[in-house]
Amino acid sequence: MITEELLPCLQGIVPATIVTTTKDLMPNASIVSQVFPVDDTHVAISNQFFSKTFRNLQENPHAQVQVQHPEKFIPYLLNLKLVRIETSGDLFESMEMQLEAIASMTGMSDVFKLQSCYVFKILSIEDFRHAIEWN
Amino acid sequence: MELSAAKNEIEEIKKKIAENQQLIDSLNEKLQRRTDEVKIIQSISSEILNSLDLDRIFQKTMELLDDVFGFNHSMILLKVPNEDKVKVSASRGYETLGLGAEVEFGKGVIGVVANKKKILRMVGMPYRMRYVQTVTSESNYTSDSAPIELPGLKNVKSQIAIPLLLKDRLIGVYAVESEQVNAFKAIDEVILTVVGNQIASAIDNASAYKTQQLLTQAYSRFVPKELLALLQKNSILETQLADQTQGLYTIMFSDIRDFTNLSEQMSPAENFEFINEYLGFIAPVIEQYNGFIDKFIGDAIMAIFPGCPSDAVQAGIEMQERLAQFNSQRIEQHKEPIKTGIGIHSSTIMAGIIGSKDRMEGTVIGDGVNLASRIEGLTKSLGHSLLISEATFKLLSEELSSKFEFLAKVKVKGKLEEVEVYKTR
Amino acid sequence: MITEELVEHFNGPMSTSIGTCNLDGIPNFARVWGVQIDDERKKMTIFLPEVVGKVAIVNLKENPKIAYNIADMANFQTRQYKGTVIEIRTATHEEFEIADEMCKNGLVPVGEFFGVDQANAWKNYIKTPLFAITFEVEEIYNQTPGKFAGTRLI
Repeated sequence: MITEELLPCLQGIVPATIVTTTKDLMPNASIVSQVFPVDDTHVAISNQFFSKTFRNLQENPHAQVQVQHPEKFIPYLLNLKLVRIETSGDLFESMEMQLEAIASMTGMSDVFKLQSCYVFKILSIEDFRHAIEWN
Repeated sequence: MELSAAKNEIEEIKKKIAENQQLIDSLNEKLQRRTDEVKIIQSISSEILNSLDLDRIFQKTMELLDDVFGFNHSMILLKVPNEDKVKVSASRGYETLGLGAEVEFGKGVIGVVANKKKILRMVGMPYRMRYVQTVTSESNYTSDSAPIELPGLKNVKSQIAIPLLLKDRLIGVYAVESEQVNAFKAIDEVILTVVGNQIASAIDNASAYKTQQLLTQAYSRFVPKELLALLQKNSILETQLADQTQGLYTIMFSDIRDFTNLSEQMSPAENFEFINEYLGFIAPVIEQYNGFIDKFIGDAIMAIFPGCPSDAVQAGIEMQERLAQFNSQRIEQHKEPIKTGIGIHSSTIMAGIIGSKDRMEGTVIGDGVNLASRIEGLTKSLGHSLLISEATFKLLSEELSSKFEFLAKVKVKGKLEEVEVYKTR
Repeated sequence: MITEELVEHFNGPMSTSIGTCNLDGIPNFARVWGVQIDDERKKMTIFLPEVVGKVAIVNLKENPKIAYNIADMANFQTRQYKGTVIEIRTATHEEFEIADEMCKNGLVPVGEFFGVDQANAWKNYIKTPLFAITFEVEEIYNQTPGKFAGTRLI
C-alpha cells in the first residue's frame, strides 16, 4: 500500500496535518512533525506532548492525514485507523533516536522525550494531484 | 463500425504495451540498483576483509560506497576504548575535517547511533532544527547544555549513520552527510547494515593484527628475536620447552670491575641510572656487529654472535673505545672512571628453551658458554681488559688476528686441559 | 471575540486547512485559502476549492462542526479556530482574490524551504470553483508546537 512514490512523503520534510474527532463529532486539525512508515500498510506518529489529537484518538480511532511529496509536491490523503500504541520496541526506538539526535544538537536532550508512538493501519490512500494545475 | 472498434482495441493494446514497458523499465532499474548493491558487498568482502591495513580498509570502503551510493561526504569514527565516545579516524570529501574530532555518545546522529547501535537516517535537518528551536522558545525552555559542535558539513541537510558492530560490540560508526534536503532515499538500510558489519569485522581483524604486531615488538625487547630466529620460530607463541638448535657461535661476556663496591656507594636509583647509562654506551655496539644480547645479569652482559667470530672481536674492540668515551664523561662529572673486562670464545653451542612449563627462558648452553665466562673472569687476574680464546683467535681474519698476541696458557675451572688466551697487542 | 493580535496573525505566509467529519465519525482534511472576519469579530469566512472540498461540503451539511487550522510557514505560529458553520455558498470574485492573495504570500517561504518547482506547484493549486464557508467561532486555541500547544486562548 505504501508505494515507493509515497515514501518520500513520510520523511518529515513537508509538515503533515492530521484531522481527528471526538466521539461527539467535534473535529480537530493539527500539524504533526512526521508520519513514519512502519511497514507496507502501517504508519506511526510520535507523541511527545500529549495533546488533543491523541485524546481524540483514544475516543475515536479514525484519522485523516495529509502528507505531501517533498519534490513533486503532490498531496496525498491517508485514511487511517489507530491500531496500537507503543512505548517500547524497534519502532519506538527508531523514532526515539530521531528525536534524540535533533534534540541533542540543540542542547535540549532532557526536554524532548518520546512519550509513545501511535500506530495506524492505512485503510486507503487518496492521490490529490488533481488539486494542482500542473504545467 | 467494426473498423473503429478495432481501432480502439488497437489503441488499448498500445496503451497496455506502453504501461508494461514502463513497468519493465522500472523493474530493470531496481534490478540494476540491487545488482550494484550486491556487487559492492562482494567487493568489500574480498578487497577489504583481506586487508590488514586499517587505513586502506577505511579509504577503500568510503571510495566504494561513494561509487555505488554517491556518498561523497563520509567519515569513519572508531570507538575510544573505555570511553563513551567515538573519534574521527578517516574521512572523505571534507576539506577540513579534524581527524581525532570526538563525538560523545548520544550527541547528534552519530552519537545516537553509537549509543543505540542502530542505523539512523535523518533528512530535512534544517526543518527539524527549526521545529525544535520553535518548540524550545515557545515552551520557554532553557537548555542546560550548550548546542554542541559536531564534526561535519556546516550546511548538512541529511545524514545517515551506520553502527559498525562485531556481534554486539560497537567498533565504530560510519557516517555520511549530504547537502541535499532529501538524500539517501533509495538506500536499502538492510544492505548498509550488512556492509557495516563487514567493515566492523575487517577493522577488528586489522586492529587485532596491529595489536599482535605491537605485542611482538614489545616481546622482542625482552626476548631477543634473533634467538627466536635461531630456533626458527616466527613468534614467541611458537616456542616451547626443548626447542633447540646448535651451531658454531661466539659468546662474549663483559662486566664492570669491582661493581659491588661501586654499587654500594650509590643509591638504588643512582645504581639503575648508572647501569642504564653504561649499557646505553656499550650495548648498541653488539647489535652493530651482528650480535645480540642474550642476558643482562646486573652489570654483566652476555652476548651471542651467531655469525662470524670476527664480529664479536671487533665489537669487543669498539666497546673498549666506547668505554673510554664513557669514562671521560664520568671524569667531567667528577666521577670515578670504571674498568671493564671482556671475554670472547667460539665453539659449538646449543641454543634452546629451558625451564619448566610456567617459567621458561631462551638461552644457550654448552661447554663453550662456561669457557667464555671463565675467560672474562681472567681479565682481572691477567690484567688485560679484552681476552679472546685460541678457538676464536684461529677463526679471525689475518688482519684482525694481527692485532692480537698470545698471552698465557691457563687452567680454568671446569676444564681438564689448559686453555690458551690471547690479548690485544 | 477575535482579537486584533489574532487578526494580525492572518497576514503572514499561511498554510490553512479545515477538519470536518461525518455522522459516522470519519474525519476529513481539506486545504483552504484566505480568511475574512465579520465586523463583530465573531464569524470567519474561509474559502474552499471544490476540487478538494466535495467530501467536506457533504460532511458540513450533515455535521456543521468545523476546525480551522492556520499556520505561519515562516515561524510555526499556529492557531486553531473551532465553531459551527452557518453558511456555504459560492465565493465572489473579490473573495477569490483574497484567497489567491494568501496563496501568493506563501510563495517565498515555500520556495526557500522546498525549492522553485515546489513554489510553482503551490502557486498552481486550483481555486475555482470556490466555496465560501462562514462559521461562528466558539473556541480559539494556540497550536504552535511546544509545551503550550493546545492551550485555549479564547
